[in-house]
Amino acid sequence: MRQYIAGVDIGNATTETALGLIEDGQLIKCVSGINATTGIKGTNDNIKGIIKSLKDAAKKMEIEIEEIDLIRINEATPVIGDFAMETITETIITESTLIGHNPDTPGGLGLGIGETIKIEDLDKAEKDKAYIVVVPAEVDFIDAAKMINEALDNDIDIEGAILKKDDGVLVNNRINKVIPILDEVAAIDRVPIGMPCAVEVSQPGSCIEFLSNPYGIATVFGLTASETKQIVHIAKALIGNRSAVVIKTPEGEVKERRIPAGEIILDSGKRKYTAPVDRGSREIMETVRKARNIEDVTGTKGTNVGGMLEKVRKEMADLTEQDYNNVFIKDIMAVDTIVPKEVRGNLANEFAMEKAVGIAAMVKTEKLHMERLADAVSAELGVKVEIGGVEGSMAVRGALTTPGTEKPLLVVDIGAGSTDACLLDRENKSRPVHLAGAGNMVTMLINAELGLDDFKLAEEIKKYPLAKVESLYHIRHEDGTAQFFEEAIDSKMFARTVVLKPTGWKPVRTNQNLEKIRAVRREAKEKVLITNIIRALEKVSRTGNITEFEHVVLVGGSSLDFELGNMVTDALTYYGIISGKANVRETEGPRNAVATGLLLSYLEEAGNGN
Amino acid sequence: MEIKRKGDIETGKVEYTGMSLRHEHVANESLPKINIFFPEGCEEMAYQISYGIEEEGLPRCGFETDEPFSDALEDIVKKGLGVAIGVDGDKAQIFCVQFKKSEPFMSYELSDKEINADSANTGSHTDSERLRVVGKNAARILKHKPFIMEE
Repeated sequence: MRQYIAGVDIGNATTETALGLIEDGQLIKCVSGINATTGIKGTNDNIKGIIKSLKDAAKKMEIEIEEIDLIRINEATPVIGDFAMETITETIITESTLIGHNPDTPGGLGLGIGETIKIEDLDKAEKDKAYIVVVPAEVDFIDAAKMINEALDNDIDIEGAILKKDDGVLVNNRINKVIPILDEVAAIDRVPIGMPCAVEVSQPGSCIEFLSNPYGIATVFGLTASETKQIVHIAKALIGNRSAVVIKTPEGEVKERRIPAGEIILDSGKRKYTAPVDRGSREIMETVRKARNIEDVTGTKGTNVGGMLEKVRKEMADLTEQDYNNVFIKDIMAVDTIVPKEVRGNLANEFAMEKAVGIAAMVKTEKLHMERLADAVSAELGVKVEIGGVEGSMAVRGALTTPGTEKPLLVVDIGAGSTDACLLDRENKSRPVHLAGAGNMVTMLINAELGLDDFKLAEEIKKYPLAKVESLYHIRHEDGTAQFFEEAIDSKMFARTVVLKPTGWKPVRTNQNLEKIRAVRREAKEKVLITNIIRALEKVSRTGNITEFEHVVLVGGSSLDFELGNMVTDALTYYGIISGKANVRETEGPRNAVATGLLLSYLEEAGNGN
Repeated sequence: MEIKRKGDIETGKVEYTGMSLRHEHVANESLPKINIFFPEGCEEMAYQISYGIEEEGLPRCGFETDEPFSDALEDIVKKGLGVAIGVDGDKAQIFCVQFKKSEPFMSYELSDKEINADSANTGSHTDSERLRVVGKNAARILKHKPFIMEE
């Protein structure tokens, strides 16, 4: 008897099909189909995507959809994941103290200390005082240099200058004294006049020494020990700059404020645990570990994290048509990060690196009953549709077709919103685990740490390798190899780091170099994805010792990531675990595991071998 | 203040005076420079370009000529930095030997506005500011920095 049986896996991102030709109980041929999932998983909107995926497979099998005898779809365990970031420090300037400005081409060299004075007031300057000259846009650099030279000739002690325009080098080249000159100060009219000020410029390629040292600033302004304590974050914000200006105003100060970021409350059923968000991820994750089986998680109202936790709860309630109060958050993941944030009250678009905590949450409910969808698909196609099995155990069965694998096998599917794992033990019992923290959280970290404010670009940096455009005709890849081209490279990309997308290069417009972007990308994947694979192993382990496992395979679209497979292999070898990307049916790589599992389990249930 | 004979823009025909530069190797003929070619009457435009190059920290030299663009094109293949600029009342062009074709690497159309020393003070987005950008971008080819793109 000849039968065409299709296993269809409706995922959050893709709908995959494994279409098999079965003759006399034997699987003769199997082909795959794929399409983007239409609508939210588990709703009738999925029908379009299912049909397209089936058509894709049917075409390869050279049959029409109507010839399929049975379609098996997965029983979905709906999992919704989301994330939020809470910045826990904030640098505020009161009274216009300028910090953190790092112009491209400052002029001159050295450390200059003096009182700020407008250039047009130099004729009123006193001879026994030191001055830092402030030059607005209206004064041309030639005139500025003339006026400074005139003042110097009149024995006025000029020790530095601050300019609005990008004229630092031009002024420096025309004055008769070497002084540090800071330029490109956008809000020059807000620079306080008549105040003690220090300007420092270092050699090209090096960093300032005095103003990035709290004791240096204390020396410059004659600060007491307790005043020095208050300015330590100014010094910190200036570390690594080639030039800097610090102005001391009487009421003014630079404050690093700890933002009240609220708490996370974990309910383990037996008792409640609280973790203050601003203590960072280590304490939060320690609390998660202590709580063991989390029944629910809530956050302080009015905070980013509190808002995210409620949003994710509501989303699930809407999806499953349940009461909001019957939806529970089962897992969270916290990650520390630092993000560049614009300094409040800034004069020249300064940024300071602020501490932040990224939190991901996962909510799941009982099985999403797919019968309604099955009936709708059946009515649409005129083909019998049945519910095949739970995703996790189907995934493992499909993944077992990877050469070299055996039970017990842990399958890990890193999605966009959650990391889902399933262990199949020797007794054929499957144990699913769902964790917060997955692809979107990685993208969030990349977006935040590089200060991109562009989720799409961050996603592209996550997925594709980088290269540096070194000349008009060649690029240098991450691994150092150079690649030359016959046609000139677009000048928009010149000297920039680019993301090598298959559809074309995308320049990354940040100040960070390729090595930094690469490091942020890999660290984000480690902090979230590698950590979660180990967390999944810990959760399924009965002994608490993950070295009892031997095989871990990655499945799902995220596993196609160009470096993740190797990072996982690298990390788990340390524990004596063999791991890597699945190779479903020896040809599909990490894709199609659930769909294949649905097909194979039909054969098992029908009492046939595969 | 002593005003020295200006060395940073030398011409065969006319000498220009201006502010002296404190530490310029202006007398060093053999130092390779970014050369700026301009016709009579366009010296202020050449100055603005040179200020852009100067702010980026590279040496430059001006030449008054009747054929600014073809002279710039010839210049890039001579021993030197391989980057030259031609400018006249209508346009400014950067030529670069790395760019194989025998045409400008970057071209800027200029408006009819007269460029003079005062226009740099207006603060608006004038041709003089754009000419500074021409100078900066020419320098950035050699400094290997991303270009300032016009919106």
